[in-house]
Amino acid sequence: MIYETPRYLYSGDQYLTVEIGDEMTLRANFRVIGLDRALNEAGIKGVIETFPGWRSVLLSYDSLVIHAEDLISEIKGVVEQIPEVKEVPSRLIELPVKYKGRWGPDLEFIAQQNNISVDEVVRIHSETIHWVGMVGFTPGSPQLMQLNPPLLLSVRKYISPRIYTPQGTVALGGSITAIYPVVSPGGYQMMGLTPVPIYDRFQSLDIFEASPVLLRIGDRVKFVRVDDEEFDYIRQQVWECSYRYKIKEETFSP
Amino acid sequence: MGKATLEVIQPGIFTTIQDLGRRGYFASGIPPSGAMDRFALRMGNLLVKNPLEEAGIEMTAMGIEVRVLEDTVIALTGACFDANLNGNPVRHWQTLEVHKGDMLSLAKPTTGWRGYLCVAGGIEVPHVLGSKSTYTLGGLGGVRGRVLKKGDVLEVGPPRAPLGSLGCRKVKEAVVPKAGAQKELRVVLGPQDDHVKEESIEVFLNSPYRVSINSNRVGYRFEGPQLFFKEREKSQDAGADPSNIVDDGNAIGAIQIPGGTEPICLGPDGVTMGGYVKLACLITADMDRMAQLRLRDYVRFQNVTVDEARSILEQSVRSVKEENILSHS
Repeated sequence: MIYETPRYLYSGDQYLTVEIGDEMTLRANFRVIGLDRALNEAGIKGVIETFPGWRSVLLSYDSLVIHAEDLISEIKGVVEQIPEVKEVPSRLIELPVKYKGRWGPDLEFIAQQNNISVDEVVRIHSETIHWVGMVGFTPGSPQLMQLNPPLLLSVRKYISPRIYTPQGTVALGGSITAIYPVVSPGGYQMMGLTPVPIYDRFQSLDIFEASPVLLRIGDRVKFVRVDDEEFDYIRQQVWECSYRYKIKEETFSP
Repeated sequence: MGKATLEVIQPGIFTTIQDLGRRGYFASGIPPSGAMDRFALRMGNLLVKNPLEEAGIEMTAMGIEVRVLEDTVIALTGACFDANLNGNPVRHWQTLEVHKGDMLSLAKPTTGWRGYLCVAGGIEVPHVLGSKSTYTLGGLGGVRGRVLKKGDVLEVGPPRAPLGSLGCRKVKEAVVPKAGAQKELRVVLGPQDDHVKEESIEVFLNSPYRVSINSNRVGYRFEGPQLFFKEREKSQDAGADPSNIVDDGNAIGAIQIPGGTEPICLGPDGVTMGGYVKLACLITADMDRMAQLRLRDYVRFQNVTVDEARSILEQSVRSVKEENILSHS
């Protein structure tokens, strides 16, 4: 649900959670985007940065500049005047994926759980556009929601997380797709591998000039199925820094 | 350009360059990083008259051995190591003149867990996303985004004060953190304390917890009693276990309790979001204490208000000042 008024939750003495609801939905996400925008425009003194997520904004602030209670009353003033967000700028970004094979060991399980074939899982997943609802956990890792899928793919996470997930793994947990930007542990079911970076610590490709992270909240992702040969070709282009991401600047309304 | 000043002979176990961290990338999944014991880094910088946010060397569980390539002045703060310069014991929380050809060896900590080595002029590495701090998971900052290795040569910036004016500066005894103070970690309850049964919150605040050996800059795990969650409605979005919530942002210092066992307190390199109940958050000032916990130490969590936490932080930050330095020439 979405609360009548936001909840202000202390996250220690230098962070504050402003929570607008407890659901993982586009409407909650749009509220958060509106709130985040308004908070940044308000330029409240002492606020260091904001982190918009599925259903809340985490603010970090300098408590030696502003007291927690003053911060909350400032935010309450901002919250009262937030116009409803009906449309947001939203890039549509194509990401190639090699499904199946060594790095898609869990497709079989996903297929079973959804009572369809592996090929159907791949078809649905690559034909559905995904919404970036939050970015984080590890640098630049997106949380992706399926937009109007013909069938909502859903699968439980690993009961005990695996120790190793290769960089570029595309995986499903619940109905959320994640991409692993760096080698890390993980609990989502692995579907395949993208040959292109979504995090580039060296900022070597042009697209990473301003930030080492590709995706941000409000972007949309379209996975494009590639075969072994295309995968290798794209990876070669990435190594040569000649790969060009396919990105359309658009707006999106739910 | 800095001057090549320290050559790493033995790198220790987990030694990184840290300043006070980077800002502005939390929404991209990049945590602030930075010195885990910020008081110790600030004091070290004050001793050698650096800006307080300058970068130093953070050593964990084992010190480093370095060869000095240029005359300079250094300061050791934080954990006290079994330390010597050319075989002669050296003191912590005070400046130390070192000369070309000297060998500085730091072995195991005798008290505390994390030590800082600050050099007059500061460690010169590139600013990456606005900070020199090393974030190993993301491969950012410090020396090529990684821990120090044997053979690394560290450059140092120009000193902010004549080296001759830096000898014999010492932090007043009263300001040096007492060994053992870290056994109490102060927390502010929330953001999801309302998901946990009242009795379990009492248990959390009144039980000894043991520092797990799986503790590092990403997070500290604590072994203690099982905690229980309130009944809640089944939620498709949050996940099946009552310790699950709809994912939200994690504060640095947030204490997650997956499954109700082994609270995990996130450190400066912590994961930025998650789907577990966060019962409480460590107060900012006590990240310094957590940084000095030894593995398998016992600690207790103590509840304070946000205002108390602020006052404790203010006191800590304000105590890093020239009046707390004794200098005799």
